[in-house]
Amino acid sequence: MRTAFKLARAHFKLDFPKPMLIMLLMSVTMLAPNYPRIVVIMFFIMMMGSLLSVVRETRSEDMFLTLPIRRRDVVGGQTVYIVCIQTLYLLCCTVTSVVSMFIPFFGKTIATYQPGILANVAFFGISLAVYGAFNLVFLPLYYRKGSNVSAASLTIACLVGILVAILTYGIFETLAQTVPPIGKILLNFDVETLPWQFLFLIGGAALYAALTFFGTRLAEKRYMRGN
Amino acid sequence: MTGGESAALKVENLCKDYKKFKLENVSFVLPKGYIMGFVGRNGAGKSTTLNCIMRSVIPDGGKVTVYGRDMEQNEIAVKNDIAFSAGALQSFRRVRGDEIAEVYGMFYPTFDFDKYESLKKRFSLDGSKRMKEMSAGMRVKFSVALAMSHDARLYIFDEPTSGLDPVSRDEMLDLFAEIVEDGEKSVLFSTHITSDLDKIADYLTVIDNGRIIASGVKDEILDSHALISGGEISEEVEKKAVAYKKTPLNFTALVKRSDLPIAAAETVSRPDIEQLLIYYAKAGGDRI
Repeated sequence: MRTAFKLARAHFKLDFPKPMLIMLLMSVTMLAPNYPRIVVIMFFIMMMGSLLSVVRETRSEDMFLTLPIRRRDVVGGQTVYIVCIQTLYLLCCTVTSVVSMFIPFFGKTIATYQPGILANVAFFGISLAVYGAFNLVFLPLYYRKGSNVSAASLTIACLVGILVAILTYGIFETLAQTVPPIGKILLNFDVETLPWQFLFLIGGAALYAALTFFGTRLAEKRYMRGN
Repeated sequence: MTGGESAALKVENLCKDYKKFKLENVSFVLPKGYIMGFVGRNGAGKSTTLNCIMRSVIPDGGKVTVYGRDMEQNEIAVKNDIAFSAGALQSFRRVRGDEIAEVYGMFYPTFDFDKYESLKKRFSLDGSKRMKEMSAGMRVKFSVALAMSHDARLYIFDEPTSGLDPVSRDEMLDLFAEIVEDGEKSVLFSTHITSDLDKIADYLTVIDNGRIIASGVKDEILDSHALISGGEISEEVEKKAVAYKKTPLNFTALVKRSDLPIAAAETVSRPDIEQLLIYYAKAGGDRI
């Protein structure tokens, strides 16, 4: 695990284009009234597609393979790199969602002037679950040909990952609209539902960890197979 | 040479099958304290072999032992004992040299930044430059400097002299000679610049089309061959030569010393590595 963190650090040093940090500003769309929250969290995938195309072009993973690490560690390093960016983006979204709670808009606030799931504490649990689902399909598809990651592999992995992420969010949105107790948690900011919102957050985080872990394991197997 | 403790590197029956290229039972031994040149034409399998040794490419079969330790079983420990340069750092165009060194420092516990600084000075490199600002030769030197900045016993360099001017090439070869001075460390370097091998290599391994066609002490390999030339080619030359070149008026052929004397040979000389390589390649990669 320590090696994976070191590799992620190496990715940030060698592959991360600093101008890409501007993409984190997409979290500001949380302040746009009536802007679907699903779209806000999906901006991350655009950012990740660009970042991983840099990794593919620099072929930093080829260099990592000559370092004193095990081959499978390369995938772990990539996962930690992705997790760091996902976390960073969600943290930015957290800040903007808090700000949105204080901006008045036609008798409501930006945060509450929304159709569908609101960006409360539970929303971030759902976002984590969505990212987990994305990682589960994205990572094995990205490494479907082992270390030889082609542009096609990256594109297919992103496309399928986005579809699965939208589907996962869709399930939560449907539950929020059709199951009143869930709707009560996801469709408002009531303080009385706060413990339940935190439960969603913890559950989402656990799901995120589990799905990302399995995605990484599957990706490792593919990475080990093809070279 | 049987390998074991006296061997810095022992490669046994390394195989890798790509659809369009096959590495077939690559075997050779590099003893401690020596420099081995790994030579072959472009696409012969030099880099694939080195990548299989480093496990950047997983071989389909075979075994690699470094100072008596199995590479597959002790990958991390063995890699710590190897200084590896894959040639010019092509990709990290916007990254500064010193930033790449920091990454190396994170992974090699024995990475010595003082040594790195002194190598940079020796090669006249500026670590604050981005890779895109360095020439191809500078990137090669930078890659070698990075590889050499940790405590290793086996040094593996892929085309370390390619793209270098004659002076820098000579300096690089001097550095290799310094590495093996203590009699414990060894150098394996691939090249297709055969004059480098003439100057510095103690051992020679020749690869062609994924197969090793010769491996052993350089002088023994060269001494066991003769380059003959003469007027009109005879049937005897055609029969005994590894390969030959002829014009209507004269011929040149590479033969094994054991096949001498040959009546048509007017001059007999010791071939150099380039001639050996050319004639064996012409012969279709027969084993020397």
